[in-house]
Amino acid sequence: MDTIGYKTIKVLADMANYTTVINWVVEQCMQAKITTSFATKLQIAVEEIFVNIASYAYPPKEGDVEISYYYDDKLNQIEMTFIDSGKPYNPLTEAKQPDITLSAEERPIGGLGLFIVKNTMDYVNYEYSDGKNIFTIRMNIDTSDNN
Amino acid sequence: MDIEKEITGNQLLVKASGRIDASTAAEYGSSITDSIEDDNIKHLTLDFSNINYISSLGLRIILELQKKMNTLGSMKVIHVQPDVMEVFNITGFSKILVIE
Repeated sequence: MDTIGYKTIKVLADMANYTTVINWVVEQCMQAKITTSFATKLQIAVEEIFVNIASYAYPPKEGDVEISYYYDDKLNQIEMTFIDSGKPYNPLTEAKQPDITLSAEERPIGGLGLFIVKNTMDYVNYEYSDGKNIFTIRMNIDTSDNN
Repeated sequence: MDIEKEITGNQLLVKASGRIDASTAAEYGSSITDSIEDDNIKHLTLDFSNINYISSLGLRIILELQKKMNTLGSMKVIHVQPDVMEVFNITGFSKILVIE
């Protein structure tokens, strides 16, 4: 595997570290020179997944999340994985599918985070292995209109 | 995040800049809700000219404001930028908000 562009960060899965994580992703996006539109999509996905892990993986205990970033410039694809050792939780099956046709009055507040991730990323996968939750996303980057 | 508010009679225009995300959504929401209550606002306009990012925590605030304004009067969102519009489209918010 070509490991150029492979980066990793490990932080306490706590909302206090949200800004650290997002700034780290912003930095990777700038180094990869991806367009603002793709960078925004990736940052939103990272936010949603990180918030989910910080909210559900460990509380009331504490624990780390390891986030890795890999940019494959041949495939024009970014892959990110989120690994925590918290409670087994598959957000892809356990998060309710929102009904996006309801009116403002009828719509419940919340529940859209993972739905956005599923609809903006090209690949999402969850597995539980060796006592770890492993969540993977991939985004294909169209560089034809790089600006 | 910078939040500018302009009140004319019972109308409130809010112009913020930056990201509505996990670190700013609560501040954005409470700042607007405080004005709505303190100044007896009936019509709310959110100017999104300088909002370039919204996550689900931001959407939560927007939906809460929409529900509140449905009972008080009206709400509209103006000058929505493409990356934010895409999130509104994916989540069906483009159908429940008045977007101009």
